Amino acid sequence: MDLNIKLPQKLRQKLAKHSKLEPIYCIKNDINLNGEFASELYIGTTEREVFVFEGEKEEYIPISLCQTANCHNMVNGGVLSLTINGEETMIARCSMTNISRIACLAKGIKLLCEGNTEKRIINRDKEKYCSKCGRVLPGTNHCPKCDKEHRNFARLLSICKPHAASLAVIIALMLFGSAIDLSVQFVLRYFVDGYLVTGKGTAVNVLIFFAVYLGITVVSSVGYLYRTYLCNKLGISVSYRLRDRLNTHIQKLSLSFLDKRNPGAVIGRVMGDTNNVRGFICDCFCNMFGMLVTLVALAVLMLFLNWKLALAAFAFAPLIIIFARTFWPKIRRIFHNQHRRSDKIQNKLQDVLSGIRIVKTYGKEKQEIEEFCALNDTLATVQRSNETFFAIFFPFLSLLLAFGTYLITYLGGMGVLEGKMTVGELMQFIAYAGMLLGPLSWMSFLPRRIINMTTSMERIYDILDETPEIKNKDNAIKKEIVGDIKIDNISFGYNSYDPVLEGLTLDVKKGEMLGLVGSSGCGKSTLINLIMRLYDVDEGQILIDGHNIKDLDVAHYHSQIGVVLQETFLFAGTVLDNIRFARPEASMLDIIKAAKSANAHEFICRLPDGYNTYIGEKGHMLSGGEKQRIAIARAILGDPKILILDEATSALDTESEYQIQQAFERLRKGRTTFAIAHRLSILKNADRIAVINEKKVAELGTHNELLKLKGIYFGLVMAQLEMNKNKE
Amino acid sequence: MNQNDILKQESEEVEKLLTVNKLSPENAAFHQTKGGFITLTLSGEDKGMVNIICAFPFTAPEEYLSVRTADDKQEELGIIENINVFDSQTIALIKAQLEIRYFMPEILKVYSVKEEYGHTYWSVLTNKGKHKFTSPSGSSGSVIRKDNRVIIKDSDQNRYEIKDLTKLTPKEIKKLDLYL
Repeated sequence: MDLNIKLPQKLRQKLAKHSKLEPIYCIKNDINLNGEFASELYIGTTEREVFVFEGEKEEYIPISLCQTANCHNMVNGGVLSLTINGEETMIARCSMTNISRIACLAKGIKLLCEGNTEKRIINRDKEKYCSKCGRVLPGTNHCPKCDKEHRNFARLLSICKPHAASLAVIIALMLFGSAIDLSVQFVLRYFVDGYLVTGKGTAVNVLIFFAVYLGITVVSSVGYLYRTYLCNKLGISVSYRLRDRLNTHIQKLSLSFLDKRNPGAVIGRVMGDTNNVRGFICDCFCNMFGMLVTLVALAVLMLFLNWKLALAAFAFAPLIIIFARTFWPKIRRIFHNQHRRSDKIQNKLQDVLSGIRIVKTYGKEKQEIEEFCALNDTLATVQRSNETFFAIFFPFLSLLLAFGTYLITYLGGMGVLEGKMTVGELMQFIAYAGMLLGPLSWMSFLPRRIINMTTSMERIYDILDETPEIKNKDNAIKKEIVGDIKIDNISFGYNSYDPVLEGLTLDVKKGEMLGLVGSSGCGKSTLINLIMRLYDVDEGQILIDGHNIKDLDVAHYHSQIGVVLQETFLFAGTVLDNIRFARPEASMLDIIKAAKSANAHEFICRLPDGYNTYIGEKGHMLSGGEKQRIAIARAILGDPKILILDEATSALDTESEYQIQQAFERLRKGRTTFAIAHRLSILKNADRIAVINEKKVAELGTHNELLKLKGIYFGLVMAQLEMNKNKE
Repeated sequence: MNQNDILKQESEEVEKLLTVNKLSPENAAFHQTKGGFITLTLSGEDKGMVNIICAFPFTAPEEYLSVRTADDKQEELGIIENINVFDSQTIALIKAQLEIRYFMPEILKVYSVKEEYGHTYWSVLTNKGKHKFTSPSGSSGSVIRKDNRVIIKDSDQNRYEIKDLTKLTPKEIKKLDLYL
């Protein structure tokens, strides 16, 4: 995000009058101190003063008077404050739109207050809106409106390129089909005028006509079938490739990418958007050229047959389409409304049935029945109203269509009587007028389909264009880790405006077990995420055996880390698959050894299908402790150099925990281990314990050293002792 | 500090957590700082800058206000059962702080709602002035509560509320219908 936008000319002049220095940071803010939306509101700083412009008002605060700056997070907003001569003063407010910028500005001002005029704060967040038109960028740097649509068409063409031959056949078949549909009417006309009207026709002529008509229809149908097959094949191939590419790319992307996106939205792109592209290829892309040619050919033929009647038909067909399109929003609205009511009932049912135990325990059946009835009533009312609408709308539309045909028949009939037209020509004309509606109606929906496709393509390429934040450098180091870890003055936050760790420093020696302690949300798991390099630090560095973690080969480094997390995640599959996940080439014996070490072998053997027992949504249900033991076995099997235990034993019973502790003791020898545990007794065996507080390491030492210190750790141990005493 | 002191301190802290310390004009005095923040003097003791948090921001925005220290600990100092027990000046002061803490403009009028490229573009009049914002398309960004209150979340995670959907004109409701 840009933290130094250009001030409007007038304000630049104002600033120049006051200060000779250029702004270092300048932000266009959206709300003023009264919390009202303001359009001409700018806040920023030069090296010497903070400036605020609001309309005609201007304010300058010398940095020399300020001690520090802060950005306070509020509910859906923030406040920028400066401590001026010891008094914390509110300088600006902002909505969530600007909070990231304001937080950076606060950091920038803070540096200036500390006398650091060299260092500049950078905001790594992406711009969310197009600088030209203000539309939302769909997570990419490309505006769907300002970036020309042909870019997406070019992409679509490039995806279809390997299927160019199929596409050519599809277009040829489409043209062939159109030519047949149009020419068949010539045959009909020839037959009517030549044999039926004149009375010269014989049974043989009728049979010939029947055979020709049947032949043409069969050829046309076969062509149509083959074209549909090719279109679907093309669409399916393209969506298959896109899904494949998306999934491969998502696996390579950094965790920070997925953090900022709802998993449902990402799934929507992999499944929904690729399906949209498939639909566009099948229904539009393959037909577009053919439809256009059919429409032009129809228009020419109709004008040629009877130009006056043709103009009447041209005027009437769009009228019907306009009529249908006028009601389109209404139809959409009522469908949406019905879906919404239906969803509500579904959600309600799901909610109640999932919590039926609670409903029954609290005797709330009657209340739930009443609530359901109310929702059901609303749905029934909406359904009744919608059905009434459809019962009127569609017959009326049919009537209108029929009326158009009757009108043309009437005018054409008059033409026949006056000898200006033959009966065959009239029949041909009526058929063409009917055919006109199809391509016209199809064309009227085309812009919408194109927009849908381009939006889907944007969303797909939003992911495909994303470069992983964590990636290998050109000469990434692949080495066996020894396990010396140095964390040097690191700062990190998932959101740029909300740092979780700031200036944290820690040295961990090879083979050492370090316990991490602190209140919930203090940053213990975040620190571990950084050590695992799931994220990159914002400031400072992490050194693994003296190498910057960023210089190591990511996959190779990850393969040397074993993790057991608090929320055990097991994939849908067998117990064997889940344990072997860490080392697919592991032998059965290794797997049993690992499971034995994790105290999992016994319970696995008791499962109906042993190691082949399917676990997952529809599989065997494991208890929390059993799941965790499988996760531990997985970690043990990986033979990691760095072991991460994030509340790894939280779901184990005391007996299992003891045995697991023993297993960990054996396992952790020679491996650097980081262990987070709320039950401090687990950390007794840790070589050292680090207490994380206020974004830093507040206390560091052995269990006994920290107890002697009588600080935070001592307080926590005492509190737990007291709690255990009370339990007893 | 010996072991007993620590245990005593812990017990006191637990007790503190369980106690509802009611704040009233008798024991609490709020003051505005020059910088626009608020301080509390509790039973004669200066507690410094405080934050005021609504326990029920939607259903009872002026009742059960939790007054907390402004530091990282955010320790609760007491609860204001009802803002009206204080004098008008204090009420204004507390309300002003709540207004700063909770930024959720109320939509009074809907000028236009349209969908483009997978996003919904809103042009509205709020109690904070005219405003345009964008929300992700579909109904995921908005919640209609039982009392017809609608909360709309925009693409930047700002929230807007329509206090009573039924109070909008039928034309406005029609405009919104597809997007809620």
